Amino acid sequence: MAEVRIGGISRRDKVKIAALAAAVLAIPAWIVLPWVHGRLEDFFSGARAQLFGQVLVAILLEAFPFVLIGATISGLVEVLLPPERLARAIPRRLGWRLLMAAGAGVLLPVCECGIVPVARRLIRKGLPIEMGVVFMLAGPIVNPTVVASTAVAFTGQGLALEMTVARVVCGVTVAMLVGLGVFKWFGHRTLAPPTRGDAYGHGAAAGGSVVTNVLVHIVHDFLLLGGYLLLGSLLAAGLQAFVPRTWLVSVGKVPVVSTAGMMLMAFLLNVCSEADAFLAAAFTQFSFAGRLGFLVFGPMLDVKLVAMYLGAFPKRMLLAVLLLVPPLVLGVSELAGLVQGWLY
Amino acid sequence: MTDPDTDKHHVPVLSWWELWPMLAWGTYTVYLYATGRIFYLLQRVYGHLALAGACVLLAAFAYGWAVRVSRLRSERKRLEAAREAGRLDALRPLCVCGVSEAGWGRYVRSLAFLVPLVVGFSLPARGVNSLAAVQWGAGDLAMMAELADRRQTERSEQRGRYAWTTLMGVAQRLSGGRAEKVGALGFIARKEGQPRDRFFVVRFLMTCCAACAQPVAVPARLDEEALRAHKLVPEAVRDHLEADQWVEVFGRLDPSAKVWWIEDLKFVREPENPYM
Repeated sequence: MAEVRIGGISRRDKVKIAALAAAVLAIPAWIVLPWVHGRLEDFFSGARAQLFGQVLVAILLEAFPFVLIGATISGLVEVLLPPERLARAIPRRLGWRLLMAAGAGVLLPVCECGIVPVARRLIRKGLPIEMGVVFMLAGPIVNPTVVASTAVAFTGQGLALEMTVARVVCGVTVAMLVGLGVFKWFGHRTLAPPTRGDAYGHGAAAGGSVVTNVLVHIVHDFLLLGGYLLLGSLLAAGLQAFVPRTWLVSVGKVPVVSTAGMMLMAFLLNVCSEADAFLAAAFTQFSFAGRLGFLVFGPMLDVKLVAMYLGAFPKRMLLAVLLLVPPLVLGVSELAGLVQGWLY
Repeated sequence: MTDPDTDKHHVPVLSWWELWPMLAWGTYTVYLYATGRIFYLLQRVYGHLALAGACVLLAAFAYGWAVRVSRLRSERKRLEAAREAGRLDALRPLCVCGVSEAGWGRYVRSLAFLVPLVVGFSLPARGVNSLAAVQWGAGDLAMMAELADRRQTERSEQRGRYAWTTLMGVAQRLSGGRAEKVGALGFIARKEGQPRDRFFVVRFLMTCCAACAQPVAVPARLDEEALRAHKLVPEAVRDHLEADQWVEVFGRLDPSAKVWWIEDLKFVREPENPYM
């Protein structure tokens, strides 16, 4: 059989080189690797390093299944949803578009990590940017699992109905207001589809089966967003290991500052939206508005989400979200707190 | 498909830079689950979900690798046939370019997956430590009572003169003003500057993962007379009360001083499930 050369070196030579390298490196690796592992174990036996490591690995282990779910949905959307069908489904009126985007989150029972790849894919498919932003911000709050967990968490305090309704209403309101702001800034625009020379060009040219093409997009999105998730997790672990929560808790009784403090805590803690209600319920020294701010802000913006947004969306869109979300959440939560106080 | 910039023939399959993170992360998660270590980091349901995710990753790796092998084999056969037929375009080298965008970013992202793997393999198999308890809010009785109230199904049993319960039950009784004799299991934590005979007995409540675990920490003091009555040497007990040491403690609650007076104590190993 004629020898096939790939990249200038024959395949047979490549196998020989690899086997030789493995043999040469095996013995020193046998000695060096256990020594390195021992030194690392000593390092991570220290309390702060151990805490950093545990938080880092815990956040990644908890989030990656949701990123995988989101990447899978995103891959299916890319392969199975033609752009024309998506364009036909979009309402003409801005109000209906924003409402439709907010309601679409009910269909996806994933937390905020899983919704990022889906939103990214839809925007690249031709979904208007403002709809993508609303879907991304409201989706992790209106999904049935999060609504149920909020109701369960606050049952013991007799706040189940108020907090659940307030969370959904405030989350959707903030998301739609941000969407309106993005629309004013960007106009009715969609992002340009991916150019030739990137993954999609390769995948489409592959001529493979539907499963293969979906897999290609799943892997691409998972690795892209997984890398930014890792960056965010490193930052979050560092903050958890070095910044005491207690100084945030100390502002619990001061109005407005209390809400801002809880929002900052949500930003630093990186709690999944499907479990954050239990944590918020425990902060009894904070006001209704403060805990509501925690529950609305956390699924929209936290350290790992900002890192994922950085990798998934244009910088201007990220800037719009960063500028609009915090003041709107603060204002809407305080307003909801006043209404709750007046009603009860 | 030939790239005009590099003049190489692209084979659109997953590269090893893309395959190895799926294999490594999937295998690591399965290892953590099989050894039970995953439950030091994740609540049970999330641990099972992580295992499911790992199985999907490993399946994706297997499928991607199979597609890679199959395509490379067919590309080689095609090139061989083309060279035998004397076609010049068959002289171009093959390039397995992967599916990520070209550039050094894909290598950085791929190598970055090494970081949590190295960190994870170096971590000891234990729960969240006392430093976290102090940093994350040890000592807030109102918060602990709220946590306890939500767990209505907590049971207690009699052990001698003491009601044996969970630390949440202890916190609930203390904050509710009940002066009882109770026992519970937890580990020791101290704030900076705290005297050695004062400490917190702590256990974490995990709702989703270690990053958001809540400390349930009851302030405690050694009752030296009672310890002597139980044939314990208070000075020796005090010296052995190191941070992260697990103990079974028994004593009476003092709601006015908001403290748990320890009358009897036993040093124990960390339980299999350190969380509540």
